[in-house]
Amino acid sequence: MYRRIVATMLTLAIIVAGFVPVMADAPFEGFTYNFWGDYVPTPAAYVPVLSVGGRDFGIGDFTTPQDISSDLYGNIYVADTGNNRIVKFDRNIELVWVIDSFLRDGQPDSFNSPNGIFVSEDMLIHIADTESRRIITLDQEGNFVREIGPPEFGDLDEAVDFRPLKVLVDRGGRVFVSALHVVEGMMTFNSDGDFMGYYGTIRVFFNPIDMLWRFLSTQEQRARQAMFIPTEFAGMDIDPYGFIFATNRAPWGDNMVQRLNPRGENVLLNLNTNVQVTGSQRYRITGPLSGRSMFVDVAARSHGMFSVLDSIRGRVYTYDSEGNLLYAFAGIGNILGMSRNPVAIEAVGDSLLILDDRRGHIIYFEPTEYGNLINSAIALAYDGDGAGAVEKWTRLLEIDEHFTLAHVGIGRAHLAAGENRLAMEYLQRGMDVRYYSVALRRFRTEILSEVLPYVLTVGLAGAVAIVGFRIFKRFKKGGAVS
Amino acid sequence: MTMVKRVLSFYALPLRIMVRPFSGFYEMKYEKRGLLRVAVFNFLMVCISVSFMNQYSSIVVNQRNPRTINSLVEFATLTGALILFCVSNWAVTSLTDGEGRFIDIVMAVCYAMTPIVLTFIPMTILSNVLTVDEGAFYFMVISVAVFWFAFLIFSGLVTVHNYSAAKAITTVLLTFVALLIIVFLITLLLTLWQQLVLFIRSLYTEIVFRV
Repeated sequence: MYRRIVATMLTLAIIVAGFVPVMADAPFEGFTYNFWGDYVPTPAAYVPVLSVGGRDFGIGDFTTPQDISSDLYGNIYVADTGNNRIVKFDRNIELVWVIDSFLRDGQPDSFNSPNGIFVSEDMLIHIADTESRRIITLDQEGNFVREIGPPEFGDLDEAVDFRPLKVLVDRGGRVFVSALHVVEGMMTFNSDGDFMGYYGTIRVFFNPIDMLWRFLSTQEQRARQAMFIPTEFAGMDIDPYGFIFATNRAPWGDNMVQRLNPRGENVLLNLNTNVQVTGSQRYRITGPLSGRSMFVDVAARSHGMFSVLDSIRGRVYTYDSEGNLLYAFAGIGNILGMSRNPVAIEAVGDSLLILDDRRGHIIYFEPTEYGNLINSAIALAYDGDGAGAVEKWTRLLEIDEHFTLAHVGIGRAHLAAGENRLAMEYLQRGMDVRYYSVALRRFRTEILSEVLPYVLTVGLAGAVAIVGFRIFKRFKKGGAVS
Repeated sequence: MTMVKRVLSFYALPLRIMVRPFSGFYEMKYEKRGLLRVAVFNFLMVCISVSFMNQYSSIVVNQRNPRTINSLVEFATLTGALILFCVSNWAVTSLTDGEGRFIDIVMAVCYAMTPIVLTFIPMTILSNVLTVDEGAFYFMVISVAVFWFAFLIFSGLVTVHNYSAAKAITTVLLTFVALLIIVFLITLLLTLWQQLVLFIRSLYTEIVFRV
């Protein structure tokens, strides 16, 4: 019997595998955290479909590639750091070119450990050429456009060891550079390459326990502890509205991910729940895969969403514009969909790409029906199409009835439509106390305005009757006396 | 009407203690009007009220994870806390010339719980029609009840032990020290017991495997 079942299942699997080219099942468990921070398994929002390495293009393996970027047309650019070259391939995964040298003022020049790559909207390619201590800008044909060297500070220039790790260029041509051990923030340059100042400094917070611990430890112990200084930004991305997302690797403190406005202020705040964007909320303190999340890179998505990459557990966490966790997936491992040491993430349309530097591979993830529903519901809600969003949320609840944001979304829609009782029900399930209160107040008023007239009428009539009866009695009494 | 009267007379002393603590506790102890069954009733009502509040108060004031709410655990916790407090208070006051017997202490603590019994259930029901801004009202009433409960315990201990205020404060502080010591000893005992069991079990395993 057992054998027959196995045989049937194997046959079925072979048939299914024959018809469905895409891997139907994920090697990891999709999950999210609920209001109380409990781990809640969900259907996988994304599934791995493909893993691509340098050998697949016939150009030899990528060696510790550190960054990927994409342009408007879905072409992918890889900073193949260990091989000192950059590689471009198109959306059909076909090689376009490999650049390992370029002509600069007629002289041949090459890269030395390029760690960061970014393609701006004008299709220029910006490379953080770390060990050459410069930012190189090339055009699509590989012609040299511009070089930005170490910034000049006047008196202080000798103190600066300019080793750029990541680079980003906004629509106005402003260049943002995260350089090794430069903890004041991102260095910004104007399009002429002049140093403009620092941007988005990571503020350092530490809690009283850390302080006490430090106070109690000896001089030698203190020297060995991690210092409470800010770290440089680990990953950066810019969204269509011009907000810059930046992550840091600091093992303490808040603001692990920031959404920086043009003034360099963090505007990523969750007013509803006060929950910080922290990735893992439940984790082991010691042992393998332990410790809090370390966000090595961030990918700005459409409609204010963003995905962050946790290198400790190899997971991708996706949040909406308010910092609510939407879905999490992927992990550390060797099979398709898992990575050994993820270093960079990039969003191309709705798909997500993770760069694994240990294996030198790029893993493609595509959204499932579940992931698509969440993405489209968030997009519709963000654009103000409440009815469209509710339709998506309702379908989503059929797949996963524990999806908190769906309850909140439907509840708020009911509230807007004036169906206060229903709104209360959904908002309570979504643990949205603020909006639940609003619904409750309206429902209370509704009930009171219905019931109060009767209560008051009956009360008034009763009072009149009692008073009348007394007067009548007294009158009768008085009559009897006279 | 006689039923109401009987209920009232059953619960008259706790109510009186709530408004006139010192004379009330005096009557409880020295006029022997305190009844253990009333004390136990009051304590059970507290257990029910606390469970009721955790279970049924609205999300506006109570965002606890429903999965972590367990009435039996709450009952056990409250009972354990009551016994621990009474035992340690008894231990301390026996050494410091307190006049109260163990049963007096238990009764004083249980009779002091009336404010909690009277406020928790009505406030729980009320919380379901309160909004976030009005939640402050709920928390105010609850905290007044708890503070009044603490004061009643204190006045109860003063009365049953026939203490001055300063001495009562000292013994209450010492009670908490004794409480910590008891908890420590229990933990120690459990750990040692566990070691012993483990030792005997491994001895048994060795013997079984070798013989």
